[in-house]
Amino acid sequence: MTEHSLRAADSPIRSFRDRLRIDWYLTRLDWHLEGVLTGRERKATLCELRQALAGDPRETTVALADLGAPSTLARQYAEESPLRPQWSVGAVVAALTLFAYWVAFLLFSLGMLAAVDSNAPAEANATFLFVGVEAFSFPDRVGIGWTSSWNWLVVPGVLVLVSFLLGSRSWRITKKPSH
Amino acid sequence: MIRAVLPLLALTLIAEKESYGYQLTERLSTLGLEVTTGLVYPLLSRLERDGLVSTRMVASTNGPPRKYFALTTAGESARAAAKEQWHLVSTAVRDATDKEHSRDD
Repeated sequence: MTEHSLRAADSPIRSFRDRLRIDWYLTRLDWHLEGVLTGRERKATLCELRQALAGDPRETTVALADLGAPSTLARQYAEESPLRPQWSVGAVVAALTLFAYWVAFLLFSLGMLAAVDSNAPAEANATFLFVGVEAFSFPDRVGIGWTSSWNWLVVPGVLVLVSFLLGSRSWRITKKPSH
Repeated sequence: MIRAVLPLLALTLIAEKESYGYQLTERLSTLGLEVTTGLVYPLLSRLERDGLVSTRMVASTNGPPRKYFALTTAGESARAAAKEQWHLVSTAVRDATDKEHSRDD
């Protein structure tokens, strides 16, 4: 069979929005594929899918819907392969956990400051997840502070580590790949 | 059901004519089988990994290059084996359902 005898359907011109849709889909698929394929296989798979989508004559939304949800498609690629840890998902979960911790800590501190400010002159001391928090409001000075030494680093560090290990499903590393 | 026979169908269609992924889903559709690309692309990937199909990139005048799949010698053997299995299963199913049908009569 010669290359001239291979007839291909017309490929549509993808708009910027369509390309963004495809990128977002492939990004989500990449997260899920991390749990089932090696880095090299994942890269090759995504490259092939990107080319296939670029050459798919249907509208982008139809072509993506036909592929199915990224998690479902990833399972199709997995078949009988053992599941692997998803390190990038773990990193995202750890970052979100750290952010949530900081927000909660800040809200707690600001709440204390508001409480002492309404009763000024006053000062208060409390503990937020093993970290001492101090708030004070006097005519010449207003502020908040953290009094613990090592807890300030250890507590968020432990939270980040635990959320990373759980989010990445790190226990899967003990299972041997079949190929 | 369709998932179980999809490898046999794909190998058979590829044996008839070298095809790319989307083209294969279109050919299956022509046979009256609505199969999504979400099933076909992973299957082709596995067939390639197992050495049952070979691939080559073909430049397209109206889009990106396409990856065409062709049957290998190992793929031909796998297709023959799968076909034989399918005949065994389909014969057994037909015999069983025919018996059921005659009992109903």
